[in-house]
Amino acid sequence: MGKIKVGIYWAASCGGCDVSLLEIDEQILDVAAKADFVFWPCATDTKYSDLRAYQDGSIDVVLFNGAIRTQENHDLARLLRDKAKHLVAYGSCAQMGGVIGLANLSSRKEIFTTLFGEKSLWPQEESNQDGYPLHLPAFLERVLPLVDVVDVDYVIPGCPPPKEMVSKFFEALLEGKLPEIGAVFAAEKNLCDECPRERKEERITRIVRPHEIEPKQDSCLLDQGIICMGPATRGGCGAVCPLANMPCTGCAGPTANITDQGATMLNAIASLIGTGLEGEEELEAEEAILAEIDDVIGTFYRFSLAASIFKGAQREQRG
Amino acid sequence: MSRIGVFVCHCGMNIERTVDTQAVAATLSEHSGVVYTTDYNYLCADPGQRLIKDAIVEHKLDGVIVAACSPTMHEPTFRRVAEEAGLNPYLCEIANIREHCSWVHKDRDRATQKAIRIVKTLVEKVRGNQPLEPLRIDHADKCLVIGGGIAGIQAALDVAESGFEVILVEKEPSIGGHMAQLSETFPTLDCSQCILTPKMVEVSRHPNIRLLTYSEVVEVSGYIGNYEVKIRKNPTYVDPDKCNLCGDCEKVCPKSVGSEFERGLIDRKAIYIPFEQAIPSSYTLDEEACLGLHPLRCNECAKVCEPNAIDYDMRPEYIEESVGAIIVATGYSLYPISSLGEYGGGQIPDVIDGLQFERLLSASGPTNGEVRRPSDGKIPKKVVFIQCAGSRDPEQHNAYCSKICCMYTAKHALLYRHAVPDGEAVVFYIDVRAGGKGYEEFTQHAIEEERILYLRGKVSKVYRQDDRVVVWGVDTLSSRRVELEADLVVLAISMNPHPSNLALSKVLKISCGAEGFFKEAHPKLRPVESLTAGIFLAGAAQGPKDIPEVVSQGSAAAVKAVALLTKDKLVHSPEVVDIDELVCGGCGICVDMCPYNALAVNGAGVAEVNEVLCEGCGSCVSACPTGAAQLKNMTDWQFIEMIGVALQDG
Repeated sequence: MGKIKVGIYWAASCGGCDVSLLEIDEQILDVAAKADFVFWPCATDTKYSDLRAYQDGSIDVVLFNGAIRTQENHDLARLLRDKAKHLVAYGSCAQMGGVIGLANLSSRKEIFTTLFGEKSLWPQEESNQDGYPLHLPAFLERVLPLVDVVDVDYVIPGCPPPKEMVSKFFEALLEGKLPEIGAVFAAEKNLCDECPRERKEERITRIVRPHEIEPKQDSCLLDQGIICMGPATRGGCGAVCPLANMPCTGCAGPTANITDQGATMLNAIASLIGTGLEGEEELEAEEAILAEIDDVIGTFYRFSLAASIFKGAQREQRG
Repeated sequence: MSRIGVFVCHCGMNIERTVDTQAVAATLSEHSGVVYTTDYNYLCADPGQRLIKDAIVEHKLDGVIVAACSPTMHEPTFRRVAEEAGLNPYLCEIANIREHCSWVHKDRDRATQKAIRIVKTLVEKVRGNQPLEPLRIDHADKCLVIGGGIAGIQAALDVAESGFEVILVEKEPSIGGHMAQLSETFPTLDCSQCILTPKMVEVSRHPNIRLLTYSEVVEVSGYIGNYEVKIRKNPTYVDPDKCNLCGDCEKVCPKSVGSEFERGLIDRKAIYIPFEQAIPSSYTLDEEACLGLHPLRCNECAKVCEPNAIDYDMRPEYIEESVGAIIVATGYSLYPISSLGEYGGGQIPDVIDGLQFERLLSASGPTNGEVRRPSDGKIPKKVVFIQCAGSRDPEQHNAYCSKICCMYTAKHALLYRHAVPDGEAVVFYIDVRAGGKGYEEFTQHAIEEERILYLRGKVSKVYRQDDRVVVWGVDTLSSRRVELEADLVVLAISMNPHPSNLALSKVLKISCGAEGFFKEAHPKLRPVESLTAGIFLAGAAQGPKDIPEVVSQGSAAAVKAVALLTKDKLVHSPEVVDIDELVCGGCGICVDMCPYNALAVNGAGVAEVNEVLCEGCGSCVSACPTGAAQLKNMTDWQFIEMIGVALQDG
């Protein structure tokens, strides 16, 4: 039996996912011994034509990181889906749109106007440079998660995926023990399950940002007024952020039962705040607490805006 | 579910007038999973029910939607119908196309379209439903009655007579409540104590009643059928088994305070018995008033107590009981007389409240039934009675009518005329509300036979002039200002909720209305039930009432409690929350949200639900950040399907 064929592709991403593959330390040697990287634009020189030449389903596994921002991302997702036996959404952007997905707060027009100014300066899909035709991939109206474009077999979440999850995936791959289609290489339970901080089941009476207080070591960050996305986020990373006195930002995405991570956590926060006053006074107090939240979308939808129920701003299409 | 039946009710013209029920049935017959639809005039009527039953059997339906009125009306009816046809009742759902549609719209076409959408959402819901079995739970077989007035006494006796053990808790040293203070009762002029005390004695003798006086309910946990209650029995410092009522202690006690039972008309000692027929028949040492319990030691009473009944070291005793039902009969208090400054309340000694006048009329009262005014003990020759004092005055006092004042004022005036035949009685009233058997006749008799002057109008001011009390009022029938000099003014003061209601409502987790009386589950159809299952209300705790009403409520609450206690097992809806243990990470957010204390994070770090406590409100579901908490037959996934079909084009 030949070596396992692995493809790695980056769409709209920062490049952190590609680097994270190296975090598996010496396990990389096992991977190198048993697998060939047949397509990895970040590390090897491979042309799209080479890729097209592969028979459908002939690449054992493709790890796809990044969101779908351009037509090129979109086409490659389709192509890789065809060529891959198993397609893996690797990292928050492929899974949910990630930080890239926050661009959905602005329309294509707004983005181009900000970047290039007046319309005549906007990049054209077809143009002529020094007598040669130049084709640029179209910039899509909105960012899409990979899962909205093609069927995905597995998800390795995280921004970037933490070592434990990547390692677990390669272990399964090399041993030929990939789980059932649909599996997510993270915990089924939320982050609180593995977070050592203790929650006292208290009402939130104030909201602070991490730099504003020195959090107590052992007690839950939510109890201390820092918005931690841990309750609405899959575990599996070992609660590394809360252990470093920083709140979870939700990069691993929601648990299997949840469709909208941000809305779910907003619900939980709305339920948790309270001062114990009665009637109108309580409503006013609660509103004042909620008003302390800085950057609601960035806090609750940092990675999941493109995968949320409303998917982003609707201005352009409605108008 | 792939064999769903949809039954659309006309509700006479209630639905049919604005919704084309035939069109609803026809459209739904095209909907995926629906195999049978029909419309019918009255589905809740016997033939309608039979139609549903037959269709379930004939078409082998595995899900049923009844598109009709609100599920609060007939959900139990149609679920029973489904069950009788062999279908799990939780696979039958109600689509409310009456309250939510036909009653609130006029445009027939659009209302019909809306009704179709409503029914479709319910079809989607039923497709996601699971067959469920009701939870069957054991229960305690005792009943707790809070309050030993006539309402509590009646309830306790009725429950006890039905063979169940009753714990009767009374805050004061004796049971009897306000009724024990009354002289005679309208409209029959029965002696109040004469009809009450036999019942009090019966309470004390009844083998099924455990009487805890001078006691308060401090903690209640649990749920219908299984309430755990904690009662604090305050120390009376007198052993009731040893006390022989000789009264020597009272004679030597150096400390006097105003008697609560006599409403401050006379004093009592720090060691006292509220009234002669008190039950339990024993002295009580009021620790607030007593000198001996304070550092400056006085032990006069203990010195003279021959049977050695007095024990200064008595401590509060805590009693814990498991009860299946609770009856709340805390009664009322009077609107504070000092709040009626415009009538000289609390400032003029000869302006008194109705209960004080009862004591002046009572043969066992401080004046032995002779009407003598408080200031100088003279027999008043002219008495002015002011009705609605503190009632029906939303700007300044209570907005509500206290209901009993019209009747007791007529009685007061009549009894006064009996006691002082040459005396003159004047009543100021807004209008006389004498609804009740024999009540109108009674007031007419008082007005005409006893020559009591009824003036229709409000009193604006009462002040003191020398030894008389001047009343400024108006007679609206003759449109004249009235100024009267009286010897005594009796205010028919508003009934207030008992001051302990608010604290008790928190202990019991039942709600009070804005005015402070306990809230019944339904003002017409569930008048003696609270909104919390297994907790019942009786008497003036729920609102102003007279004695016959209070007694009826005591009996009614008792029947409700007995009906519960008689059951072998209690049935609880299985539509409760379910925690997905594989997903729950034990963050505990749901625990804070549950108003019924039904959730806790267990040793394995997973939220665990006590299904019997869960009322299926869904507070935890909306707060759960993992989606682990889902209501049975009302999951997020069902909602998403329902919303999807509700918003579908076309």
